[in-house]
Amino acid sequence: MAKIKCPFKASEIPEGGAKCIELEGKKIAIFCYKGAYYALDDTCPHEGGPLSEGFLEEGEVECPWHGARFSLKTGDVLCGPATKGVTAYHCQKIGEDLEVEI
Amino acid sequence: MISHYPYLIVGGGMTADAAVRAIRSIDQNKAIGIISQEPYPPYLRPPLSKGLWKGKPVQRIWCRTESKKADLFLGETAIALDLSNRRLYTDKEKTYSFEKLLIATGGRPRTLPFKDQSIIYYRDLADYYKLREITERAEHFGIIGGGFIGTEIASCLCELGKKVSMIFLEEGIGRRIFPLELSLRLNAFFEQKGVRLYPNQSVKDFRKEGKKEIIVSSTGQELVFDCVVAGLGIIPNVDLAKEAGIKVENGIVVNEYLQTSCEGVYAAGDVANFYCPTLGKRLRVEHEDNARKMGECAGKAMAGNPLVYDHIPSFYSDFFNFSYESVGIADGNLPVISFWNADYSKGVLYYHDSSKLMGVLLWNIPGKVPEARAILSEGVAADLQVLSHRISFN
Repeated sequence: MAKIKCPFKASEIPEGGAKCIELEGKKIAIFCYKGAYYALDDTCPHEGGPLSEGFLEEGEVECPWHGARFSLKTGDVLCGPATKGVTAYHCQKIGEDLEVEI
Repeated sequence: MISHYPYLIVGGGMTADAAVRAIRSIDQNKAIGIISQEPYPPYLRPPLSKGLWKGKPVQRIWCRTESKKADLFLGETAIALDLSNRRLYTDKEKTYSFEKLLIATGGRPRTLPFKDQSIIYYRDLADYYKLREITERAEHFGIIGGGFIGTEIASCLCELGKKVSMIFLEEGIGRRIFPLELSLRLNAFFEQKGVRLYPNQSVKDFRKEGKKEIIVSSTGQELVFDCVVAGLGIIPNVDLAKEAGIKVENGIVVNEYLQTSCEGVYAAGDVANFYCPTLGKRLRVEHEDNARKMGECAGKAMAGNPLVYDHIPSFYSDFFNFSYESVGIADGNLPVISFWNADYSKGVLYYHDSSKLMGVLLWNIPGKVPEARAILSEGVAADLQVLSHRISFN
């Protein structure tokens, strides 16, 4: 596990929004939801939709392509058509920066 | 004045969106232009006959292509292509020059030869808005065609509480892709849901009388509706390419890198005719998965990273409480080895041409598309014993 600082400030992600970054060769979506930050694999395991462009609701992100839903906290799949979850990474705001544990 | 785009895309569908994303994964800077005859920016097409009728809001279908730094020219139609000068002319009297061009013009709905064309040939977002508005006041809908659009729209309207009838050429629903036995089972299921079926019939005439729309079937029956919707397949939009001298044969012919017969000009999506190495034949596929994957592959090639397109296309559909996915070729005329559970709610169907597996249909078994794709790639024999151990129902 390594803690990696995101190359942007936390304030660059608006409330209810997300940003996709590549860390350690992985595409990771960082979300800001109700003032907290969450990090998940960006690629939906169903057909590869970009979760960073998904819709946030009730602590979940909905894939913009086919509507699979994942928990922001755990990455667990909560609704198909995906049949498995995505990896969730610990994401912490330190001052103005965001740190993701990979 | 000529607008120059190093990357120019004709057509504003899901293929164009996928191409833009792929180009941007390689080249962040050079300008990308999209010319689309639709008035809307790229959107997801499948929800038009699925999710939008089940509560998905329209604002969730946009691809947001413009966020990837692409200039959209909407409501504009490309009318001529000059390959030697690498220029494209549109109906708005504009001229574009390009270095790399992607033709992703998709297709237009096949229509019936009647004078009165109030039939909705269901294909795009404008059709969705129109049908949605009609459902506010109409009760009885006639659907022509028993394929994807026919079955999906019939089920959506039925679930809105509308009275629905379907008229189609084949003996059963989805017969072009399903074996007879499954197709007939679907007839019974749709009838149970209250859909009136007119199989083995064509439409001999269509006319309007006041607010009513009347279909005369090939058996002479007059069927009266408030609204008629048709899903009769599409005709690929090849004219631009053909008139420019690009090779066309059931779509725009592309090589393994999705390049047309003209260097630097690519085609992808519904309009492209490509060779599928795993299945050993040329295909033209009109589904989302192929639109995205081909768009992505073409975009990479345009940005200088050509890869062989060896994807085995898949598709999916939902109606009522059924959902199915298919990989490869699902042709109702091919021999099929099928496995069903006791109540026929789940099944796996293997299509073959006697020697080789050509396609796998997964009936109500989610998450198995990768397995189905692997089976086709491995070249597994079309053998009952061998296949019985492959995809499980769980």
